[in-house]
Amino acid sequence: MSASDFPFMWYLQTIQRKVNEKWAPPARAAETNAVVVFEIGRDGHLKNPAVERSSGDTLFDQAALRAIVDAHPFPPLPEEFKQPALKIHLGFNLSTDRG
Amino acid sequence: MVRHRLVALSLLLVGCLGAALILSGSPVSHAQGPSEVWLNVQRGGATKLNIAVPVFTVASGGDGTTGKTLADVTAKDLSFTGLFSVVAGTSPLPLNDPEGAKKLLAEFATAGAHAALAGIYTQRGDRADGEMRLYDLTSPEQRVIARKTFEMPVAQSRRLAHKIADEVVLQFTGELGSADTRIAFVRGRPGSKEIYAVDYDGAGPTSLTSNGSINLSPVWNPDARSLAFTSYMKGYPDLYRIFVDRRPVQTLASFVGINSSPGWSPDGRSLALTLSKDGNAEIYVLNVATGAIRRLTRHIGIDSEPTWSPTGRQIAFVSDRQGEPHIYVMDDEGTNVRQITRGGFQTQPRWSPKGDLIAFTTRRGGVHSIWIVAADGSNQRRLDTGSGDAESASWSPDSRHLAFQMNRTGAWQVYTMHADGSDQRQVAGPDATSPSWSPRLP
Repeated sequence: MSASDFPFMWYLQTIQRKVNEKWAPPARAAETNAVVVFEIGRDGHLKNPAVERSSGDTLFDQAALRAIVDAHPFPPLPEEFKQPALKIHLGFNLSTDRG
Repeated sequence: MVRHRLVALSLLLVGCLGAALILSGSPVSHAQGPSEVWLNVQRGGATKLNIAVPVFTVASGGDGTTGKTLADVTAKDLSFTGLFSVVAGTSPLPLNDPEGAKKLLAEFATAGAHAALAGIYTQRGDRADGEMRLYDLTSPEQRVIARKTFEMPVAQSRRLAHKIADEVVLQFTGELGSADTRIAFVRGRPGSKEIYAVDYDGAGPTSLTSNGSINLSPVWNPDARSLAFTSYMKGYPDLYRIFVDRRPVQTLASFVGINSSPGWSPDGRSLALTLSKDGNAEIYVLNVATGAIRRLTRHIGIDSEPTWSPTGRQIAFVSDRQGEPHIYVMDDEGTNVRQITRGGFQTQPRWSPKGDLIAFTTRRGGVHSIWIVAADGSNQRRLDTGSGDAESASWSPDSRHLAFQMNRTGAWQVYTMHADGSDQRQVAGPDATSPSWSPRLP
């Protein structure tokens, strides 16, 4: 298994940019991390978003989930990528020493 | 070997998005199944994507300026979205010289471009084709992100650039842009006002009415082929429909009293409008095909300026039932009326095509400004449009922009801006008011 299974970095950057634009995490004193998992269908529609690893902070988890939902629809999957869907595990990281 | 590649990809990502990402040396994308990837986001400002837009290749037809004009229009569209920083102005990509093209793309990448857009214009008789090839420059493979061809009558070949720009926006955001659109507006002085339309960027003005009367408040039908408007052409304020293809004008409503402030239902079959036929200004819904009307509001106050939510289930409107005019929302049956704005003198509600926001005008201290409120009444805020009055907002179909009228220069002009109030661009004037931004053109 290698990164060349999904070598479309511009596509992943687009996902990161769109989600980042919509993410409004609650202010937290400590570093907080959660992972949300979801799938993107061929035409860019969102499927099955869910919290995969909770931060232990429900508000933070919900803000992460909401960022995914608010960011969709996503771009259509790259033509050269032939599978019906792409599964993404997206980590949300809030560090305390910056913005 | 594989490990080296992963680290290299990580670094490229850092270079592209800077502070927006946290990577900490670990692979960004390590597939465990055939179609799974791991990514991270960290709180930070959105960054623009750098895109190179060289002069379009002209395969046949056009003149000496066609390739440059199309590239310039596309570049301006992309830059207007606020999502891209455009690097323009180089010679066309040599498409029949793959090595030369690869070298030029590599130069764009070195200059900081994350993507490049090549356009090819081909004219056949009175038709023109615009082909786009969008390249990813964030990895050395220079993969083609998308390749698509649009066709237009030669007379409308400028629209090829708009369609290409909208497709680029789709590829990077999942939603089409708003470049292939028109803005209708009213132009004239007291006593004579006609309706005109321009491309969203101010090009290609055409006149839609020329009856020498007073014509007001044009509103595009969702099909982008016709508009409703109020006209005094027969002496009374009646409601009409004009067609872009110059079919005869259709009378929509000519009841006794006021027939005004039309708002189309999302399916384009009904109009919410203000009528005073029963004595007081109330909101009704008119079925355009049958002429049947149903009354929605019953209140001693003045109810006017209805605007539908994109689901068709709710209507926002202005009412002075509390004294000063405020924005209210009701269900499309006229029930469940609730006030959603606070303070001030508020008029001209316009529901965003995405459905989450309502733009409106507030008068405070004699000055008009454009405000935005969430459809549930939360997060009411003023857009900073600078000095002068700003009124009469109209959303772009992607809800990222607004057209509006402003008198900062001393005369009313129509402008566009981002939905946060920034990047104002004048598109029509002087004496231009009441813009209506069309849906995407058919």
